[in-house]
Amino acid sequence: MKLQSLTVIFSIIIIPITLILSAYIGVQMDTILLSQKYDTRLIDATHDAVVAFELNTVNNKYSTNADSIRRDIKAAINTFSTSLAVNFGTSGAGKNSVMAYIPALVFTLYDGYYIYSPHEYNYEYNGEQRTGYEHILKPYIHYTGRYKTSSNNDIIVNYSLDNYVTIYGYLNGKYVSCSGYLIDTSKIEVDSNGNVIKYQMPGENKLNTMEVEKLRQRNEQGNDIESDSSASKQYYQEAYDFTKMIINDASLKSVVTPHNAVRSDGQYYREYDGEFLNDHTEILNISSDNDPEKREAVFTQHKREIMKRSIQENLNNAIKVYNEHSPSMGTNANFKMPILTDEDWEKILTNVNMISFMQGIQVGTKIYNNYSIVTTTANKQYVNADSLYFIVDGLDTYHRINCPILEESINNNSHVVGYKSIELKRVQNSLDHTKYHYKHPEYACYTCVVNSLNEEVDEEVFKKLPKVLQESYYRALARERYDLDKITKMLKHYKIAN
Amino acid sequence: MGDSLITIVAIFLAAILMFVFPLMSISERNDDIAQMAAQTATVEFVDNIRQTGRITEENYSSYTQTLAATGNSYDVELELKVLDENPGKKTAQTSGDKIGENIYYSEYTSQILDKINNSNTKTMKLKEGDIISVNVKNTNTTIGQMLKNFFYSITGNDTYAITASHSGVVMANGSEK
Repeated sequence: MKLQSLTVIFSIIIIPITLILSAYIGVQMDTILLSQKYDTRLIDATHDAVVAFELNTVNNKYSTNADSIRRDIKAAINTFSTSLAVNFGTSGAGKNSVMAYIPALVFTLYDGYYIYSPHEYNYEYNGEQRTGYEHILKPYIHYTGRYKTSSNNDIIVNYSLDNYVTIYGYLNGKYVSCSGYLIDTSKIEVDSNGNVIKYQMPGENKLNTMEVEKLRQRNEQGNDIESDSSASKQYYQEAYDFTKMIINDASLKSVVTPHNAVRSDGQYYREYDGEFLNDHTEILNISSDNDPEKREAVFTQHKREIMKRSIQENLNNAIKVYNEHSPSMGTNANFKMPILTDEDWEKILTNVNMISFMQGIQVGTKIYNNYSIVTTTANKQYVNADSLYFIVDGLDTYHRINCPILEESINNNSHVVGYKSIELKRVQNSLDHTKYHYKHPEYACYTCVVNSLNEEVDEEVFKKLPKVLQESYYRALARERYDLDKITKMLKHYKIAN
Repeated sequence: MGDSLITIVAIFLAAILMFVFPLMSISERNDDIAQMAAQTATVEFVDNIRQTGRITEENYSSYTQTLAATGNSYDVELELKVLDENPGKKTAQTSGDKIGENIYYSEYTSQILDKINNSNTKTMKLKEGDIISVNVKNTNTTIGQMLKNFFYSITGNDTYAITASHSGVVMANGSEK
């Protein structure tokens, strides 16, 4: 055979192979790049929704109230769907075109969470029966654990992101209810009448957190208004009394154990779940070894387990409904819940978040299925210990607790007050909605706020801080926690009736 | 005479078709795959920063390692636009009826890497509202580029075979765990 013929045969074999190969690789690349684009769009839409939520809560005085927060969340969902539709270029078709691909949105808040997912509707309107499926914001679900030994001892504990709990149910056949903060009482110094005098923190210093604080706020007219707050004092006193009451109640403590934990279907966790098997640890036995404010405490571990299971269970239900009826919404995919990583759970269980799931869109040769979690950085729901900013008299900037500039500019008599980050945001004037004002005129510090400090505030760093700052920190944290409006707060006046 | 001329031409053609063309095609696929790896790694790196609010030495080195694993050398450019709310606050106070403007100032690769290396935790923390963008392009000449240059002779500084970029708003305060 001639060389020419060989060349031709070779070309006939190789050229199609290279062409097909390059087309195949091209499609695969497009698939990956497109699904990355969708990831980014999903994250961006979730972020937009979270920002809308923050903006609405800043300007809504009643945003911690359950009904009012539903409004804020619905507005956030609206932002989410609009943003997603715009990013997908289907804004003209309306938000329903994208919502069919959303199996669920979850808003995890201070003491529970909302799920927004499709649900069956069936009602009569003008003599006409209407049925179908649409997304609804389901009722608020609290982070609850139920513990039962017999029908006489059936206790429900509502957990929250911090150390606040609400307990109600039957104990020894009597109905009991109470709520409050659980704190490590060994850190507290009391006088002979049981009044809290001092609170001790990591260092050797006994901190005086019991003073009345002088707060300052600028109103809409630009005048500085001073007010006194004894919230931190009340926080420590009430938390101390509440914790003492719980610790002294042996029968309550013996009921609230992982061994007695009951699932929502009435079955014991221990019968199905290795982790809950025969663990008789008393969760509410608060001590320095079981400090609810520490991550490694038995209380915290158990609380997180309960919160996680609650979210998983309800999300699975929502997704089951979605899968059964997705054809009626225009998609036809069997949505498998993506597995959330430990890092994701860490976020969910320690903060106010929005989780969004998206699936069913054709991406190249595959079907898209992913989720995104975005944490709010400023909200009225929950006071994160790291989200406090400090203002000292005579300095026109606000700082984080470990800022070197703050430390330099104070002395033993300095008046340092901490506020949660949301207090420093711009707020809309109540009468003229086109105008805005700031409650605090101080500017952000360039060292620690505009540029974040790279150092962590751990116990070692905290111990070295001046006493004035430590006291101010614990006062601010206690005040902001105490001032958080909670629906279960009214229960605090009830005592456990034995 | 005519026959041997054709043979010579045929040998040249055969050499191009049988060696250069497959080589070019494979090296181009190779560049495509490197391009995809770079783009994927960049998106992952940036989205991780956006969601955690931190740039860590660990993430940065694993990112550069992923890039290096494609067999090329790269020039990685980081740009961080730091949000400064203060000018906006000043404006809002003086006029009262104007919504303050946010102003950004930029920090670049060397400054960012300096900050990471100088910190105890080998981390640079960002805050919500900052904008991070990453651009990467190859600095070596890949085989694909070389062959292309041989045929179409495209040269110059602006012809990169592999480029990737991604950017976005940071969504979390790195100081909050």
